[in-house]
Amino acid sequence: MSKIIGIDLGTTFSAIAQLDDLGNPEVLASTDSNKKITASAVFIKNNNVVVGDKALDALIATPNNVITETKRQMENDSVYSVEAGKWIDKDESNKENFSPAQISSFILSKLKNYTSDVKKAVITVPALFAEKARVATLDAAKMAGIEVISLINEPTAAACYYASLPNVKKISGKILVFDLGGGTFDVTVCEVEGSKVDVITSRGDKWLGGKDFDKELVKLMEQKYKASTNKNLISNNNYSKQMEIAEQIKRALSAKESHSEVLEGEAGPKKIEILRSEFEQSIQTHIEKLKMLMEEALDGSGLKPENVSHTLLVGGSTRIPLVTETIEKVMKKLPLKGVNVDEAVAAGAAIYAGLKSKTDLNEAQKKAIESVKLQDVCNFYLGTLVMEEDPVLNRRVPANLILIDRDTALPARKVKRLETLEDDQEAISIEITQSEGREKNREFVNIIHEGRLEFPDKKPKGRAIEVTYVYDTSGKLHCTFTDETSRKKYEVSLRPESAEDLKKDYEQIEHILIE
Amino acid sequence: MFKQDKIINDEYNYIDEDYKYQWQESEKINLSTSVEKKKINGKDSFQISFKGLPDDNIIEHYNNEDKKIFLKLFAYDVTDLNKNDYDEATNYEIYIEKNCNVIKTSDFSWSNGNNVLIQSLEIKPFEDITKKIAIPFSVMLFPKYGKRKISFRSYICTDKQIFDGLTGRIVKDKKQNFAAEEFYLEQIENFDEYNDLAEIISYDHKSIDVFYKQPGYLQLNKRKLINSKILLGFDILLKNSIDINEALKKIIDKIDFSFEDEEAIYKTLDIKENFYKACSNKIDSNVVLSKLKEYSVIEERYEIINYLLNLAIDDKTFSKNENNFIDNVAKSLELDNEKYREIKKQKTASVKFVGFDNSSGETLFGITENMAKEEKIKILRKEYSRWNALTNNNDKAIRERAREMRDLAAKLRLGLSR
Repeated sequence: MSKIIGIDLGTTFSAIAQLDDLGNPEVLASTDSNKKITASAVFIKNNNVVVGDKALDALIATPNNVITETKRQMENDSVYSVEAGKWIDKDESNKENFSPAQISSFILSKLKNYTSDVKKAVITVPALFAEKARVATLDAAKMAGIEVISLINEPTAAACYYASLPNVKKISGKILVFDLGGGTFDVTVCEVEGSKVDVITSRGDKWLGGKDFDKELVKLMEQKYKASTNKNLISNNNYSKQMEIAEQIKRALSAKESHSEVLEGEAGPKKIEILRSEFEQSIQTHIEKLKMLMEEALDGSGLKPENVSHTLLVGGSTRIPLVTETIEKVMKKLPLKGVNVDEAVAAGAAIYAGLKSKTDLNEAQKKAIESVKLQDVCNFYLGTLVMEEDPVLNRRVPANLILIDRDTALPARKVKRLETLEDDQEAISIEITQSEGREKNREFVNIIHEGRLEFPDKKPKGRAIEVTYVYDTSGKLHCTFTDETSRKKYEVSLRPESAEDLKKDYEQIEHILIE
Repeated sequence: MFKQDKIINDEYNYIDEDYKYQWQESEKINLSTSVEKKKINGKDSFQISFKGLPDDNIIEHYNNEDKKIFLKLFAYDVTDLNKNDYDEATNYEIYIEKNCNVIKTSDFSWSNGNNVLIQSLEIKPFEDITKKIAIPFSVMLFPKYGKRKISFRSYICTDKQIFDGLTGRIVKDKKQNFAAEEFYLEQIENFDEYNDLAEIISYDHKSIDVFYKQPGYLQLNKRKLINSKILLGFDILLKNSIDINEALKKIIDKIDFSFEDEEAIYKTLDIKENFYKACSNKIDSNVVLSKLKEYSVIEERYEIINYLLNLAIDDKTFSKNENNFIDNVAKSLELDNEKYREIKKQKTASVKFVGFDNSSGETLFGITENMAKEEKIKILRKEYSRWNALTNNNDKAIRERAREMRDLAAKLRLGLSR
């Protein structure tokens, strides 16, 4: 029987979990290092691929060949150029370039090998991952030979794990899941009642995580090195290495008030001391963002800090003392500790995978998770482009008409009646939109699908079009545009199974050895 | 005694009944007008004649309610109103506003001080009522040149009825009322649809054709508007050290002249005149702005902002000086701040911002000096949230801009939170 697993595909670290025979989620250790979290770093050279900590070892010698923070590129039309040693625009591509989905597929392939016979999986994504990034994640799984049962939002997975723990049954009420990882931050408010989790709202920043703190720390290291040697710390090709050192310093400063490190720059090795207070000062702008997003999440759920019973910590960056102090300030109480912040997401994904594939579970597993129930929400505004009169500009302008609001409980269904604008209109163009904010401007929304509904006959303007959007619990959007006169329909189910050039990517991957 | 008493009573009753007859508001007053061209006092004029004006009873009735009665006369150019186009229009109010303009005057004695041609006479009881009004052709300013159809609208109304200061139209529920145009288009003769407006007692309209041999005020306003745009364009570009010849090219490229054939010469003349002003450093934007509101309608004012933003971002950057300049224009034109900022955000979303420090950064988010700290904090969170949401936009330039703006909002808020 193939195993059902949950995968946390992170910016800096990834993890894989499965349900054990008794139905408890078990995070699997790497077969080579015996670690339960694997660095999301990929080394590529001459069709050889190395994933994990070993890939990071190559940062000093061949930094261009080491790819990190791939998750941040999932929604972009960029590719990694080994030659340039950075992410570049897709249209500049050549054969030595790799798409974010391809790189992610290498990480997934590595994780898949931690256990045998993996075919189906639930993969976690940040709550505010755009449709394009979700599709890229599905493509990555497909390239790695994994059938994705469903994608699940990371904080939702963490809440799912939290709710499944046997000793949390006494805790119920509104919970704030604070998920600060290496690259992304998500804050989710949900209601937990026994093992039932109802998500109320999610907010987040896809460019806010431990890596951003490391960058600030590198700036601080550079300042201190320069002040003491009058030479630069950063020189060609050593930035990645300094980032790695910064991460070590950051970890050390989470446990003590100061840390000394020998830094190697243009003036040679120099011992530099960094105080925790200096580090905290350097990341204040990011801390302000965390505050704002927590406030947003509270506002979005109509709650005040005193209405939230607990804050649950997820993600390695929550180990930074200033982060927990900030949470305490905003939420007016200390966050709850006790859940493994690195493993909660993968473990929650494994539970969700079990819920989604009950027929593949044994009796003990079924019993262990049967009481877990999950109600998620739509994390985006979903709409369509229309033309409307702008009374101020006194002309017709394109506008985004929202059909499904953000934070609507899933499954969601919305029907809207629209009309044609011109006599004898032959067709309507269809643009399905997604946006994180309530945007009316066409420029500020993402068009996730374009289509066209042709009419069989000609009619005066005002021809009625019924638009139906259904957003299901697996995060798929089904849209139908029906001409009420002829009953002719344009139907589409998003998200697409694969990108067009996926076949080519498959062919390429077969020649690559994954260690 | 009894009989006599009765006779006396009968007589009394008879007299009382006779006196008791009073006009009821339910009884219609049918104002009827006619218009003709006539030479009066040696001047070519339009003579409007009135029939069915209210009698003393009616006037007294209203006077007893503490209301005065007025005869008001306005004129409109209805040439461009067309039934088919009206039926097709998606927004009939916008259609009418664009295609039906009030006749104006530059003669103060023929207006209430706002250039709208109006004759307004109070009708008093037991006084001779004017039955004819003549308007000299020479005092009238038409919106357009050529053969025009003019409709004279006459109202009998109380002093409580409000008319729009800029268009002369009746105001109902704080909005302009377009019933007069609808009746003209529907060719309804017996106008009595102002029943829902208690202060309008009667109404009539009559049209007449005329040839207007001068450029209309709309055309003159358009030229003034274009001149202002050219001047503002030079000012913003030259203040940002753009070469004057380069500035000229950009301005020509960004202004929609769209003159009629016979007016095409103005394009050359206006550009030339303003180019020389720019060369001799004689542009004072404050003077331009002080007049601009007089000859621009609201959508044209937003168009000016659009045009200036297009000029500013032509080099793919948006500087602090350009921002301050355009903010000042928007303020002078009294534009809705939220709408203006939305347009600015849309236009500048994918360009690089140059030279903004913390205080000028605040203006980007619509924060002003007089705002309370709490309000500023609230706005910055809202702005952070909006820009953060755009960091996954499909357009790379917007994504990058969004990250910068998101960071700026967080930085500014941090400064306030400390």
